[in-house]
Amino acid sequence: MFFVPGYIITILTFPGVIVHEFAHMLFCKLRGVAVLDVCFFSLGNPAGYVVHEETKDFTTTFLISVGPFIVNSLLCMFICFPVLIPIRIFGVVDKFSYVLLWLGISIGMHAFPSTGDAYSLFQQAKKSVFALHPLAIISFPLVIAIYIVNALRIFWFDYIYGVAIGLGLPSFLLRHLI
Amino acid sequence: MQTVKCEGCGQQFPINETFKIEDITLCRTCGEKVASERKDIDIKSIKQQTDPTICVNCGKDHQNQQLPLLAGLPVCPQCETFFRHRPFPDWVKVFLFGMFALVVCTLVWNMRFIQAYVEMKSSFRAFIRHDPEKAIELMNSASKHVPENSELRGMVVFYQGVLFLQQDKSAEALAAFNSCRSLLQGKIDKTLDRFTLSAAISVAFDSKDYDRFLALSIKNYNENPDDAHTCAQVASAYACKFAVTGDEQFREKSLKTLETARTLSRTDPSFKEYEQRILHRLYSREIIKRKEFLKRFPNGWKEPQKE
Repeated sequence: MFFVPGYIITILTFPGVIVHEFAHMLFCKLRGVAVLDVCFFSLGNPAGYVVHEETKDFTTTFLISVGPFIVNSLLCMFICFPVLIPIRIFGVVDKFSYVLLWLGISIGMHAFPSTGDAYSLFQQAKKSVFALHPLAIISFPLVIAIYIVNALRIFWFDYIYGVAIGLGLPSFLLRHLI
Repeated sequence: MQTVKCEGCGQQFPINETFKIEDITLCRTCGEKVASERKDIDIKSIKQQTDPTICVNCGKDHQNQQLPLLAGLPVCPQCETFFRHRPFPDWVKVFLFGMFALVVCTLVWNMRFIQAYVEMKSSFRAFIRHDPEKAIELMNSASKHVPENSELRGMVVFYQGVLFLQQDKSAEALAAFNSCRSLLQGKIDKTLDRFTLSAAISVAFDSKDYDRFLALSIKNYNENPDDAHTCAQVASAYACKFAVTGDEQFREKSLKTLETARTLSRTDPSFKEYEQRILHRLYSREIIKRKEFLKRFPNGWKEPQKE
C-alpha cells in the first residue's frame, strides 16, 4: 500500500471531478433547484463543489446527493466498454485503449458522494424519516456506507471500485448475457 | 435602495453597508469600533445586513420594490431565472461531447472485436450442439476479425480436429490437435488432452497397433473411470487382442470390462451398437470398423443361438 497525496490523485483523475460536479448540477437542473455557485475543478480542497438553494423535498435532496454515484458509474461502464472486449477477452491493447481506460476509471473513482454530500443527506434524512419516506430510510445505511467508502480511500477503494465497475461488472455481464 | 439609521453614530446608511451586532444596527465604522472594544463578541455573531431591494447577484437597485428571496437572499427575477436554469459552461459541454465522441469512435474502431466476441460465443454454442462445422465457420470468422489473437486460430484448428475425429480421419485429427496446442497457449489443456488421446487411440486402432490401442484405452479409462464409452473401448481393445491372438484371457477380460461398461452406460443408445460390435468381434474374431459393421448389420447383430 503506498500513499499518494490527494491533490495528485485529483489532478490525475480530473475528469472524474468534473463529471461528479456535473452530475450534482444536472440533478439540480432536472429537479428545478437553483444553482447559486459551481466549481467543476480546482486544485484546492474541495476540488469541486455545487452550491444550491435548499431543496423542498427529500427525493430531490437524495437525487442531488447520489447523482454522481449514478452518473459516474454509468459513464465509467460506458467509456470502458469499447476497450473491454479487446483487453479482457482478446488481450489486445493499444494506446487508445489506455486513454479510454484512464478516462473511464478516473470517472468511476469519483462516483461516491463526498462526506459533505453524506452530511447534507443525513441532515435532510433526519427530518424526513418520521414521514416514513422510503428514500430517507435507506439513506441512513447509505450515509454510513459513504463514510466507510471515503475512509477506505486510503486503501485505494475508489480505484478498486472504478476498475470493478468499469471492467469487472461489464465482463461479468458479457460472460453471462451474450 | 433602503437606508437604515446607525444606532452608534445616528447617521443614515444604505442597509448593505451596515452590520447587526447583538441585534444592534451599526455602520462599518461603529461596528469596527465596537468589535475592537468588546472582546467578548463572537465574530460569527456579526452579520452583514442585506438590502431586500438590491439583487445580491447583479447589484441592480430596485428602489422600493422588495425582491423575492432565493436561499434567503434577495434576487431579481432575471438572476433567479439564471440560477434556476444555469447553463453548463461551454468548456464542460465541449469536454463531455469530446468524451462521448471518443467513446463512439473507439466503439466503431473496436467493432471487429465485438463481432469476433459474438461469433466466438456462437461458435462455442455450436460446438456444444455437436455442430463442429458451424463452430469452425464462426470461429474462423472471429479469427479473421482478430488475426492478432492466436487462441482463436487455435480454436479453429481444434474444432477441425474434432470434425476429423467425427469423420473417422483420426490421423488428421491427431495432427490438428498437436498443432493447435501451441496456439492455444495452455487454454483448454484438459479438453485438448482428452481429444488428443481419443485421436491417438483411433490412430492405433486404424494402424492395427492393438497393443498401443489397449495401452492408450486403459490410460483413457483410468482418467475417466465413470465413462461407459471409454470403459467399452478397453473391452474393444481386449477383443482386438483376442481376435489377433486367440488368447482366451483377452476374451474373458473383454467380457468382464464390457459388463462394467454396461453398468455405467445405463440407457445410452449409442452404447448398444458399440457393445454389439465388440461381441461380434469376440464371436467372429474379425475386426471391422463401425461403418462396415453398420453396413453389414443395419438392424444390429445378435450372437447366433447354439443348437
